[in-house]
Amino acid sequence: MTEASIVHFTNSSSIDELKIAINNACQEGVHGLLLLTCVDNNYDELPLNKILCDCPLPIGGGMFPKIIYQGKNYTKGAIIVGLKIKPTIINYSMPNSTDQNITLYIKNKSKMIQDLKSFIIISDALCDASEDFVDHFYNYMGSGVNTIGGGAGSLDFLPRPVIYTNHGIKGYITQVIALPGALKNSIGHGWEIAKGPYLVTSADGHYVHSLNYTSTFSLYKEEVQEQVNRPLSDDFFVEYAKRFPLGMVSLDGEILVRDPIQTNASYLECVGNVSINSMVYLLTSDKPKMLASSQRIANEIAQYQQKNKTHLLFNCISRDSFLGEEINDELSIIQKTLPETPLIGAMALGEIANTNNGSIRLLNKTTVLGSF
Amino acid sequence: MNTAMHIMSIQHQLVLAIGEETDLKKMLHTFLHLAGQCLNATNSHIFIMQNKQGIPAYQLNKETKIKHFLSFPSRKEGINSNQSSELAKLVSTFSEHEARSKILHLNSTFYYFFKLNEFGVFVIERKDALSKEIQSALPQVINKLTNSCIASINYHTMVFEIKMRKEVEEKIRYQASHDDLTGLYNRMEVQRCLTAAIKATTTEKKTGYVLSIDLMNFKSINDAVGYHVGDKVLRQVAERIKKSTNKETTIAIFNGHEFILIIDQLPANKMKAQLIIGDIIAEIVHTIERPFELSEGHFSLSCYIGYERFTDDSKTAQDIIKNASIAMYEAFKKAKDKALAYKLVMSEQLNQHIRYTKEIKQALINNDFELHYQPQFDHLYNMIGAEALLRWNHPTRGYESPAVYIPIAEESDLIIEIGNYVLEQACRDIKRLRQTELPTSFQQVSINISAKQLVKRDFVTNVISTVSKYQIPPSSLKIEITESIMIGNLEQSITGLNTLLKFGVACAIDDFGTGYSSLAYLKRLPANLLKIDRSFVTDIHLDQSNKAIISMIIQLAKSLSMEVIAEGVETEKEVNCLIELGCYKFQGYYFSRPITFDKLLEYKH
Repeated sequence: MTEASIVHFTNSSSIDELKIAINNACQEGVHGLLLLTCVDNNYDELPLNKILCDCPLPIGGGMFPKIIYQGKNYTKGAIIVGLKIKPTIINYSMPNSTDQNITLYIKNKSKMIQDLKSFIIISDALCDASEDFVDHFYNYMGSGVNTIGGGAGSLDFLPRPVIYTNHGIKGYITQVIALPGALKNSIGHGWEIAKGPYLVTSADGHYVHSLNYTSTFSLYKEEVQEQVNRPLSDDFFVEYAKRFPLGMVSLDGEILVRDPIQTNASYLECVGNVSINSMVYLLTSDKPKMLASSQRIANEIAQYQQKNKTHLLFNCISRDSFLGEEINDELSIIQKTLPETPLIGAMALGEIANTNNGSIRLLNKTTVLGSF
Repeated sequence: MNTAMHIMSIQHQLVLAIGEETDLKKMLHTFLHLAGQCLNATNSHIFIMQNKQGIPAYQLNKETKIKHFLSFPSRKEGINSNQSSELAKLVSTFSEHEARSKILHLNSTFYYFFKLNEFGVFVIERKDALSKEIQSALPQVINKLTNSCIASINYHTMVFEIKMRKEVEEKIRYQASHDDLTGLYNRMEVQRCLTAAIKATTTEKKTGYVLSIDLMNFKSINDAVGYHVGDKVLRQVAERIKKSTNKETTIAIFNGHEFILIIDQLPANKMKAQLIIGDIIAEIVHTIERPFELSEGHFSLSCYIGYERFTDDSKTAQDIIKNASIAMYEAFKKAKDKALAYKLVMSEQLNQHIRYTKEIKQALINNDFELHYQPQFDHLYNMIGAEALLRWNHPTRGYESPAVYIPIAEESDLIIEIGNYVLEQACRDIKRLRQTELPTSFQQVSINISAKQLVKRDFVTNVISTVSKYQIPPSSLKIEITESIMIGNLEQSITGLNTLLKFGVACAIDDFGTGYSSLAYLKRLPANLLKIDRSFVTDIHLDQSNKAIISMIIQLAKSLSMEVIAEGVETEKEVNCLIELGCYKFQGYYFSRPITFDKLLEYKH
């Protein structure tokens, strides 16, 4: 069996090296390119757009805070994946669309991939409609599809074009790379319930205003204080939010993490929607639990693995800030479990994958591993 | 404790989703989406009773059937759930079942079916079984969903009915004010528009015009190739007029092919307004006279336009439209200018025309018409026949000129009644003539037949029955037609004339040489006599060109085995010249003026 992809890696931020790597990949008889690069490469947009527009092959991918190659993460560099299967790449732009428009828009744009079942979704993390897109995309494609993906962008959350297309580098879009072959995915996070449940008594999209009829911030602070067993000042959020995310538990026990990223000392803003009347929990984790989770998903993929598959990882950037330098332990666990081919991937701002019931969801603080 | 809270949370989330939308599809989409998340369903579906048009209903009747309505996600393993016959079958089996809910484990999938009263089914598909606690909590949600569906369907039905009623009202309003074929306004609507235009023109001190446009030759398209082609042409005319005028122009159609245009908001200055209207008229004439190229062929039309100006409310909408139509009729009658402005004298002439028509009708009733006869002679001065000529002996004005009343009678159907009178009276007179001693040279009495008479379906049977009624030999009657019949329904005329010829009534072509008839058609006409028009005969001995024409007519008659007779012969010199050219039959003042029947009786003795 031949390998599914040809992978080029460079830890250089030079655009010339990127150009050379793309040109080399194009000479190798591949049918499409997936680019994973670091935001900190700070590529000049003009020459970058020329490289992309000149590329004779379908091209997709994104810029991320970090990229992953062979069990290590990099803040500079690029991974150029030459796909030996022919991808169909569709770029969806959807600023401020109403539901009805989104449904029709997705239906019209997705006709050519409606018979495919394997998708890599890369979304501009600043695109508010990402979760709506995922819901509508799933509604159209239906159950039985397999998806991996993540949010591109930078940790400074400044708007900039971060999605690679054949028309140049673009912002505020969601990209679907449809693959003609099978894709197996596995997701895990290692987060567990510390306390709860709390009834969401007031929420609006990403903003959770009150839990159990109390200001979310007050309740959250109280519960975190209890967990750390000491009083906290009002600026505790910056340090503790990454350690104590919120989570929603499905009927079958699956925990969906909702990462609180910001507060105004009243509400908490999460990455992803939280429904009113739903229940949320305070979650906690530690390094062993996270590593165990990564080991579990690597094992799951290894069981399925056939030789020479491409292993693509979307790992939440907040795991990097939680684990610090030990993030490479997590990555090497996966690489060691899947030694045949180099593990490639990106540290993402929100992950995308199918949950247990098959629906495609926007995830937080999660590891999404795919094999195709 | 947590399980109880979780169940309550699910109930509340679902119930909240149900209550958020009045639109059934949107409400159910939100519900199914959330049900998928809360109940960890792989697929969820709603089947609802729908009528033939796919409109949801909750009351069972002959026209409704439970059908797939919505799924989330819309597909399963690449197959649209609305096309899944397996799912439809499962739902159908369940809906016929008495139970309110049912669980089915099939192909590694747990199916949960819930009835929405008798009008719908909610289906959840899961990988694993639902706990008993959740199952027992769902009926309350289903009840709420059922009630919300009924409310939404009611709302939808109400909205649909209002929309339908509005559409019907709009359609009725449209039909009441528009012409079906062209989509232009009808008579009623244009009067309403004109009333408004008069008011605005008066208030704003502007000028307006009403144009009445009548299409010439249009009827012949309908007659020749059928109404479907005529309709196409008419639609194109309507489109062309629309394009050649601005959007503010009100355009209507009356009586099949008469267009009325209201052009207002023109300058108060009469000269300026007249210039503008002149340009518009020129454009309309040009656009109508361009050939119409249809798949059925190319057709040409022309038009006549009458127009009336209005600057104040001294005349009603009806009067202005009527005046424009009178001007149009005048333009058509005169056939000189394509467009004429209305003048008061036109109404006076028209009124006179109408009065005259009434008098002709009364004359027929009072038997004021008489037949006079102008004898016809051969070169040996033997009387060979006579032409019956209609005379109207008006009780107060005396004898009226046929040149006045015949054209008026021809415009209306009175010419048919007059023709019938002539036929009847001529046959009656022939019978009386035959009861006296006729010279052997006297062959027949001829009567003039108009084109309108000739194309009447009962014309031939009418002639035959009248001849039979008076028991006269058919050969004692001859009918005279003019070349103008050839522009009418020629085939029908030829068939009729052939039938009459077989019966024994021969045919002559009157006023020959003036009608520019096609020689090919002439050959097909079963006529045995050409009557040379008087215009060629007068002073023939002095006019070489007329001599040449008559010589040609005589040659033509010979080649068609027809005889010739010269009309309007007034002098001996003309007689001699005609004899020289080969014409031996004559009619004219030189021989005899038209005389009464009694004088004819005396004359031949």
